[in-house]
Amino acid sequence: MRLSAHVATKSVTFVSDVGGLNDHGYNEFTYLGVKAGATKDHIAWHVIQTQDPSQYVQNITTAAQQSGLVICSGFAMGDALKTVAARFPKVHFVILDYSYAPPLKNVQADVFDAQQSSYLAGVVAAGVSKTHTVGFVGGVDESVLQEFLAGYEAGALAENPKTHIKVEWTGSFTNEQAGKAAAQAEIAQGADVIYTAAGGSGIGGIDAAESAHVFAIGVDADQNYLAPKTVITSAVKELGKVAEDNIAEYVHNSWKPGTQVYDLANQGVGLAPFHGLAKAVPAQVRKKLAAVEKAIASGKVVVPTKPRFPNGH
Amino acid sequence: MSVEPEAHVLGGESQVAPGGLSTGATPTTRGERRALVALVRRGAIGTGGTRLVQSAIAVVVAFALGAVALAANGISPWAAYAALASGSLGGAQSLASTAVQTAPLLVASLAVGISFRAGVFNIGAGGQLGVGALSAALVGGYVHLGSGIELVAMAAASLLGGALWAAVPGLLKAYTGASEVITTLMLTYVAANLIDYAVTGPAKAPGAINQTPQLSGPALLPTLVANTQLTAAILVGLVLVPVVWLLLFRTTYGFRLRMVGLNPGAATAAGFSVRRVGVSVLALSGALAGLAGMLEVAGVLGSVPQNMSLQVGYTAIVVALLGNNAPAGILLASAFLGALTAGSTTMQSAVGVSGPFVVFLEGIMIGSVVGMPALVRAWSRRRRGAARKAGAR
Repeated sequence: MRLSAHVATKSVTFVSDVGGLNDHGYNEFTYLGVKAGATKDHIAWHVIQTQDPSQYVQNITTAAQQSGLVICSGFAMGDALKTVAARFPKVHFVILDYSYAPPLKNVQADVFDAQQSSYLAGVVAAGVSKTHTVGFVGGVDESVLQEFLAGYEAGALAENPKTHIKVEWTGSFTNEQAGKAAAQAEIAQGADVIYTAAGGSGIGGIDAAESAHVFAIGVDADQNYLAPKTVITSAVKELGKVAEDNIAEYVHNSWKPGTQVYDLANQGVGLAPFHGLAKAVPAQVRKKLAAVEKAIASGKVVVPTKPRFPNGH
Repeated sequence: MSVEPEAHVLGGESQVAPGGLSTGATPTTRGERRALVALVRRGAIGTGGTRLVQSAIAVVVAFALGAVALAANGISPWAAYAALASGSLGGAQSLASTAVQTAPLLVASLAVGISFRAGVFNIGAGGQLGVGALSAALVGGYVHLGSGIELVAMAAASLLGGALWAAVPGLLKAYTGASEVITTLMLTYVAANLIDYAVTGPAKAPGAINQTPQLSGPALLPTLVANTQLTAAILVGLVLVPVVWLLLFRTTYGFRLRMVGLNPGAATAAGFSVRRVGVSVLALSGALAGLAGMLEVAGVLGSVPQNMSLQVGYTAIVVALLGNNAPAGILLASAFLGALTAGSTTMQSAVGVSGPFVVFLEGIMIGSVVGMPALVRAWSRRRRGAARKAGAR
């Protein structure tokens, strides 16, 4: 093992998850951040694309042999990273959307308060809905994803207490058909804004919204380009910023292990711009958004992480 | 009855189709039978040297064309191949990675090789591997037995799962004439969807990740070298090499199997049931492929994830062809392709060549290895035709 290789020159290696660097989501935006951060801080960067989950350990090991900072995308790598991190105590590891209890000594786990951005998404949804019915299409019905629903319904009900919320789970982060079917079911029940918190499965939901001429709200990254007349905004995680922050801290020797929360206060989560659909968002809704954003960031409003109405309202 | 020298393992179309056979065969003369047996022997062992050369040429062609592709993209082929070598052979970690990649590939390739030997084109080893992996993961995740017995039960489940999955196309072929090339391949998609259904529904582990429950302790293969992923999976593969060789070349069943592959007409004339051999070979092939899935789950993955890659089942076809469907050849070829896969990670991180480049190399190899014998066969057919005339005299 060449443990000394990275001592002389600093470098960063990004290990992507299956799905590839052009997945319009997690891998792509983290990758762009790694590239930008490494360029800005003048260190070498490398990428290892995972083809198959059986390669996680091997890929992370190769990365650790080569670089002092290893950034892993996605929670699916959590177990593999834990194994490798124990073998390379001097290497700095980063994982997104996953945390360890107790925290590991050489891993920074970066998590996102997605309920906060989802709250803002809920305000927009209820604010533009004509039918006072909004839809939520989730991936796998688990606590991580329930945070999205919790924030969304709280935001929607805060904007308009009479809003009805339809909830569907696709059981997948990849099955576009399931996302489409879920969104269609909600549209059939009168929903005219669909928030898709289901990864690749949610893209099917955006398709369904586009066909039915209702609005959709994207997730993780600004997904407006997928359907410019449909995706009114997106609840984003600033994946690129996380990568850049880690690289800067590593280069300036201020990198720290432990769990790091990205939220509205540190601009780690937020809403994407309305792009060409700004006119559809009433002025008072936009004003309210700004106020709510400030209130959440300052801690005046605490967004729940457990949904009040897990099956809709 | 007619003798078809091109009824050969690599022919692509299988020769076991019922109805096309002279089941009510006219009795053959003793001389003809002796000629057939000689043909079987020659097919089994006589061309090994030629095939080794062909495989070596295929590899060289692949690397040469790969170098052109790399250079065209502004990447030094020398640096890329050096990284490939260092990631697969340079040091204990790299060698362990190669062995880790080789283990399931070796077993799946033996599975494919056995079926090719019998002229049965099982190209759905990936699906059988997936079903085997799922069966093993279910037993390992939900049925808790003592250490040792747990792994045996998981292996048995994977063998059975793979065998049943492959027996379906075997029966379809025997009784309806449906080509196993189509049915085994299509069943791979069914297997992928079965896995998808299982890991998102009835067999989903608690948590946000769609997968079967994580295996632990007794359900995992023991690690051979600390701080690596190298497990006893590679030993299972290595033991199976002589076992498969013995089965093929030292048993009556193996003789029948090869005879059916070389010349189903002759096999029928000799009193073998081509149907029975065809079905049993597919089941056997599927069982081994299923076992490869168990090795993957209990050795590397620790659970069956959603979108589990079934690529090993396709790479196994390349291995079987490169290895001339012979156990020793398959061992060499699987170690070679295992090394390519292991080294691709380093090639990616050090030189920036993306992982699927290795799949590109494999594609060229498959093209060369299948294309070349076709040329050689066309030539030898003429030669054998002449020999047959001489033999009939």
